[in-house]
Amino acid sequence: MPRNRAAIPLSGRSMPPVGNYSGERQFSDLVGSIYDAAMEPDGWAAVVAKLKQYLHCQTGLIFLEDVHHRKASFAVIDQLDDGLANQYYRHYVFLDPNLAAKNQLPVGTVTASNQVMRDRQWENSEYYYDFARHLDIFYQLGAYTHRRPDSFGSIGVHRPKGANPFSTADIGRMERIVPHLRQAFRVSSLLAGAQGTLSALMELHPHGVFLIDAGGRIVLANRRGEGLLRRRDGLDQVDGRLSALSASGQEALARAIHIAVLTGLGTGVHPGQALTIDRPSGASPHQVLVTPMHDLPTRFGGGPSRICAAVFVADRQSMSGVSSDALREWFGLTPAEARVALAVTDGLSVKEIAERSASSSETVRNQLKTVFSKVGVHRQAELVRLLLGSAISACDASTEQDRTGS
Amino acid sequence: MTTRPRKSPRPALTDVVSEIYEAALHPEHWMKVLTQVNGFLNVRSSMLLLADAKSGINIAVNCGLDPQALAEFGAHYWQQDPGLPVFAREGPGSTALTNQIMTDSEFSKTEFADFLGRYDIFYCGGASLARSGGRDGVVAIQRPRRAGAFDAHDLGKLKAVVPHLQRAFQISRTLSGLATERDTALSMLDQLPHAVILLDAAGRAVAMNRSAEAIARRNDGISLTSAGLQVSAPDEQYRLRELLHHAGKTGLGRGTHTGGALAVSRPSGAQPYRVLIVPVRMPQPKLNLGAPRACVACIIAAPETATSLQPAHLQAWFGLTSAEARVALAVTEGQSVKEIAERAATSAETVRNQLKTVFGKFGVHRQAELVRLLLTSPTARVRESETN
Repeated sequence: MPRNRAAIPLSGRSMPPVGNYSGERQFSDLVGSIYDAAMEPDGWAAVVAKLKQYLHCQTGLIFLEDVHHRKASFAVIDQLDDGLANQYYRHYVFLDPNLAAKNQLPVGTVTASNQVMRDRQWENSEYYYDFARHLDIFYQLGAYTHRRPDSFGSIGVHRPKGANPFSTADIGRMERIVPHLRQAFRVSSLLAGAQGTLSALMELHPHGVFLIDAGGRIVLANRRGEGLLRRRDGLDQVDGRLSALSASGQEALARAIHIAVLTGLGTGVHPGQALTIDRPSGASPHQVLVTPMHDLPTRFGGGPSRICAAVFVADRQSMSGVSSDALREWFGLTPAEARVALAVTDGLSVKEIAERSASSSETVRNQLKTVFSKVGVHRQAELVRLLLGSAISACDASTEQDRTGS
Repeated sequence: MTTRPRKSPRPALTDVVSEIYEAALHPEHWMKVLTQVNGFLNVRSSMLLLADAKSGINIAVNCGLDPQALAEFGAHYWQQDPGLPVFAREGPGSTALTNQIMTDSEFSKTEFADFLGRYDIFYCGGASLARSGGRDGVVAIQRPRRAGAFDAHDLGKLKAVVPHLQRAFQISRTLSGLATERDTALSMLDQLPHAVILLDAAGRAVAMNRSAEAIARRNDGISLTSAGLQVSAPDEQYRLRELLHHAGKTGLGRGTHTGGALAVSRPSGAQPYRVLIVPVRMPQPKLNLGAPRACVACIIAAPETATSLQPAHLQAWFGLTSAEARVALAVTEGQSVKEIAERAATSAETVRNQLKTVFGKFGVHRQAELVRLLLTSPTARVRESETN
């Protein structure tokens, strides 16, 4: 703490006038909220609210249009009727004089409607009379954040009739903000892309996969994994942790995960462990493998992986879930051939397949030969390998479409 | 936007902030950030470092510091920096200035000031940006004595910059964390008994496992260019484009195509690749401005891609003896009991007994079941045969 120095900060006498600096505070705060929203999309509403304040506006919006579907893929509409705003993008967008001006200019250029045409002209435009008037929008200030073949994004704030038109200073303020919006959209889409890739990679695994963090909790599971948990046939999730229903299974699983996590954290040397988990349904037990996952050393600005261990569960049900339809379509197999191919993949012998389908071993052997030649393989192991790959799409087909979380 | 009279134009907060968020996506920009920070805060030098009371410090980026000063600070004098304990105590967001902590006359008597004096530095300060795993991410600033002590104005400016540095730091960490996790997920796909390539709607590779990398490298009928996945025969290329198009649409939620298979002939005359193109349906992000979107998987089964399970793993994971592991692998490769016995110079009876034990350990009853289990087991590893 300062004792005897007058020039030490926070002693009021020596403080320079703060005014030259506080003007920046609002800008700084707004920019901060823009990047917060880039990380957490719920924050976009706050961005629009702050932007309105910053530019003394009554209404505002951020709108991303999905060009293919001609609808909003993302919208934050502040103090505007949602329905009307959607109408805008269906119809009135083509009449918007401000937008017409923006279309001539590079993406990111800020335009004000009162720059584009005089108030009188504006009032007489079809756009204002039929549309903007009902939303109490008289002056518009905005820019495209991006314009791509598949989507475009725009930001706008508006003032009602009777308010001050947008000044050069207002345009200047907006111009300071727009690059940050564009950058934040880039951040947001990079994050979404990276998360999407990670999830997709998980789906390519033919097993139930659970990624485990330092605390032993599930960070990420693929759909097969989620399916296993939903069925609660042997495996369950308790307090975010993977657990086995049977007491003995639980003890072994918890220990294996604990040891793998320690190794993943660099304080153990165990290569992993295989175990079986009994299923109350009486189906053959789950084959489970717990392996450590090593983290990379942290760099400055480098993010540590959350993952310390992975649990793989070979779920026979989903392994044999390749649809017979897919096989027929992909390789031109007959229904009988597709059945034989699937049975072989399930580990059945020719004799067993014959018994099950009430036909002779000779018939099955011939069918299998045809399957081999149609699929283009020479051995059973090759067939299994190939069909394992196709299990990916089988998993996909069996997925509920309503889930959107990652 | 500073109104204080300056001899040379100093960067405004806007400039510093823009640079900071550029660095969030491009770490090489941190150097530029520091250049701007130096101008904005009127300091001669600055650095970004990771400090850990136990293991020392790691200076990631510095701007305007003498290399010798850096070396000495990193090796020894960091322990005397009065700012670091403040950050350790008060955590992310906290700021500290040496002339806030003690008077000039007190400070000038310290060994730390002695060290700094050799490099014409007197006033120091900084802020804590993040903490993880017991380490503090810190921005540190320095100026000579003649530049004057840090005042309230300087502190205000520092405090204006710090939240942006913190946020950019967090964005950068999140992105690189996801990249690390993607690598982890990819390494798990290296275990699969086939090559897998994850593609975007344009057929460009987003990620692939090692077997796929090897196939692409071999460039024998299948190649990966910036234009996407390519096969050499024109009719096959046409079919591939068609499959990718339909599967891509389904993957993006705009179709119902199930994908398809094709054989890809190889200029070398080797057995054709069997290729499956399947849609991968994932939730659609609301905001995506061109970051690659994985929506199709290409699965390649190459005849020469023999499954070579690693005996060591079978031993470690399933508790097999080395002889049992060898027998299990031989069965997976399609060898008969007789063949295995001949190769191992032992009797068929011994092999049969070993196999029985293996069956018991895996809980299976037949060879076909064992083959399937091992091929579908997460332990299955692929190694390219050395023939090519």
